[in-house]
Amino acid sequence: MSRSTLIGYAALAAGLAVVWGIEIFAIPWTNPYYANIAIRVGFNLLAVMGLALVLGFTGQFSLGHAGFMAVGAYGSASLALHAHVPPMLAIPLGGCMAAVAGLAVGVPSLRLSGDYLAVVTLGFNQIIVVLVQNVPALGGALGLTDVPVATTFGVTFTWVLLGAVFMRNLLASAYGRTFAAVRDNEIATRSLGVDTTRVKVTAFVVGAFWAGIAGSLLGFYNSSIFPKQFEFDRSIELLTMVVLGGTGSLSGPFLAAGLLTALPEALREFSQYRMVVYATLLIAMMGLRPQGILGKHELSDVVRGLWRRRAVA
Amino acid sequence: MTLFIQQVVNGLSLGAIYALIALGYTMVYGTLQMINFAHSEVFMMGGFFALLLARATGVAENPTLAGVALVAVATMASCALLGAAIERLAYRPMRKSGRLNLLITAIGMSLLLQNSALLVWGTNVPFPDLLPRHTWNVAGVTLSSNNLLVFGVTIALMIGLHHVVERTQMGRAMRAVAVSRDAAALMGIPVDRVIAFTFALGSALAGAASMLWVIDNPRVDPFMGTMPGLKAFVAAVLGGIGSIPGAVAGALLLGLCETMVSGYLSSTWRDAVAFMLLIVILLYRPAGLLGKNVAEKV
Amino acid sequence: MLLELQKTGIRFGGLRAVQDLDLRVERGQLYGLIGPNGAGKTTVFNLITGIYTPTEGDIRLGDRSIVGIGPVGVATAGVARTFQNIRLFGGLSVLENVQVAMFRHQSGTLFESVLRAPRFHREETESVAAAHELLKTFGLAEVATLGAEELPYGLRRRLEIARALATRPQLLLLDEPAAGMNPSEAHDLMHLIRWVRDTFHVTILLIEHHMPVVMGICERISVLDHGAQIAVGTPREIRDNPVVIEAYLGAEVGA
Repeated sequence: MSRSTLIGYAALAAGLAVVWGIEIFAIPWTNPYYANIAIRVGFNLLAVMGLALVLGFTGQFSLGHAGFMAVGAYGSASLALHAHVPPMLAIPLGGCMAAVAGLAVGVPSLRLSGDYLAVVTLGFNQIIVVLVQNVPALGGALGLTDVPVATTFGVTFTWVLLGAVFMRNLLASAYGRTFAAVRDNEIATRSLGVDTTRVKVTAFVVGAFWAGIAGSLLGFYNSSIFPKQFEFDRSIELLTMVVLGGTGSLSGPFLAAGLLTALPEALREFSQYRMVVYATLLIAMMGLRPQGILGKHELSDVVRGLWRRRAVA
Repeated sequence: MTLFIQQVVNGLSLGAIYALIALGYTMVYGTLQMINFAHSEVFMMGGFFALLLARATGVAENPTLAGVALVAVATMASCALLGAAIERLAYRPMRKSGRLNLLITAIGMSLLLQNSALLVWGTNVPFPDLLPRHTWNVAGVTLSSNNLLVFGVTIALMIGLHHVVERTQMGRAMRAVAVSRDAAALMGIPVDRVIAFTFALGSALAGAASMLWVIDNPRVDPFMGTMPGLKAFVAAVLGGIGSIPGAVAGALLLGLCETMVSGYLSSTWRDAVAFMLLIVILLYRPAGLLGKNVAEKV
Repeated sequence: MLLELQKTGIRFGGLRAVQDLDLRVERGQLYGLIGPNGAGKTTVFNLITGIYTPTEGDIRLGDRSIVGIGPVGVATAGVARTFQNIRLFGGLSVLENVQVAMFRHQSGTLFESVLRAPRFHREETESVAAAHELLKTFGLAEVATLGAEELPYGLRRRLEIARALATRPQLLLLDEPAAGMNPSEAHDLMHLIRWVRDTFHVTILLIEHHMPVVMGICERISVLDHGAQIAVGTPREIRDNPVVIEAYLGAEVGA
């Protein structure tokens, strides 16, 4: 095993130690209100990660990301309710079900490009919502209740850490380069013998998996899920986070997901303005800085840049 | 059989309204190659404009045929202004910065209009009964005055639109811009004005659609545009986006499919049908029923 | 015989963009494809590389037909190309642009990448080394870490050729490699192309408008006009062919 890999695994272990340290020593004495916000930020980090891969790094315009959250949430909750699968196993299985859904949607639709893909994924989102509303076993419009509670701060952020390491390693690999190649020039990518449909489907499936994890965690946190949670506007919310954070960045959307989840909570009394603010932010961002806060950069680049500037001065 | 004919009547009536909205999507796509996501909100705003105008003119309390017609025309004009304003303020500055950015701006515009309307007017606002409702029973099939109104208005507007697009200077300019914006600009066509006009025209038709909609479903709501808007967009894609006859054909087809599903299966599945139809058609004919395939030039 | 087009043609609606084209490129040859603007040269490239499917005739690479196998299939069969309007991956570095071309020779799985398994490290080290080697021979070593978009125009063309070679092709198609270059740059490029052919043992088919380049390095030349081949032969034969002179004077004299 190489040195960089060892450092990577050590960093992951350290991160997990911190997360579980907080879980054991800090959470019991923390105001549950803040713990709740932190956990919700975690869900959005997981969901936005997949969309950052699909939209930001691979350039495929998906408007149905919440649909994959729904598959994960309903899949894992059903497993727990009907088959008595323990939640800790049901969560990754929910992710896998979402990944299968990603494959099923991706294989036919990723032949389409741009606007058409956007519309088909949006349609998929709507179909999923109608589907869960109409299947009695999934609780109809009222959704599923009495889902066992299993999601804690530690569980959520263990998945966030795993997801972040997964993404980082994936992006800094031969696969990561093919994602960017497809985004930058699909025809040239194909001319190099890279099967671009396969690349896009891979991005889609990976993105769906992490959305599914986010959905599963959500179900095991609230103890209930209902169709309204996964409608089109949820997909738009995730889209906003990626676009604001920066298409082609991972930490940028993370930053945006954190801000856009925590800020509205902090400004509770202005909650009816939340969507107006979102919308204005989106439009203003497109006008002023269309590449997003971080553009194609990562937070680490920015920190390094500041450091260097100080060193020069 | 009567059920079938009944659903055909209902389907065509629904499809006609979709068609009026779909035309706005397809014309804008023709000139700018963008999905104007805010178009469904122009439709929604049309409902509120109609309500405000009907109250302001006293037509709400005291409806006369002439008064309702006046409100309808004023609603169309307001929507036209709104559409042109959205184009001018939000889209025009973004035109050079890529399609993804334009699409996201449109999504932002749509959210902004929805939530502003929510703040100002709230949800589920009752709309006054403007026209007396007659129904006739023809061999077991119910035909309402609203059906006739929808058919009449839609056909009249289609004829008018056909005239504008085919016979007028502006219509010719629109078609030229749709073929190639750059070439049209080189020929001295004022492209910006043509695009603004396209938005205004499409928005006016959406205004007419919302007038017909609220007369039949007497409530206005900030989110009332979402579903009809999505469906109309699907209809435009079905017909081959950019094609005017395609949008009408797609809308009627979609309206029929939906009412058939409501009539023979269950109305709860109705909303899924549009999207399933969309996905199936796009997969077999990616450019829509009447559209042409355009490949990227290598 | 490496590449053979047999009575190949394509129609777009009523337009016959290419018709009845017979083209035979020997292994190791440096073959030129010339003709006035709009003669259908790039269309021929798009036919060979599977972007278009011919409506008539056959295209054979070695002993098999490559019609209908699509761009990825053609590339996998050993055909690489550059584009008239350069198509680099703007968001990737120069080095990474070349590494993308090596992807199809790598066998590491996605999970090996994510888990940073030994094979990932081995393949990554190998591809970085090979890409650096290639960049060095193309005089791009110093700019390896720059973004592809930051490169000056001339270097972009070079990078595109280097990237195409990184797929280890048997046949390399160059679409106007000297476009936009001044005579001295074009002269250097000419040597580079010949050197590439000799070093990488690759067969080259190129479209070019710079007559000195074509006449200087190609061993055999086909002339296209209005989608049809009007002459084929050695540079000397082409230069003296009255039909070719007529086609060029009738349309426009190649730059």
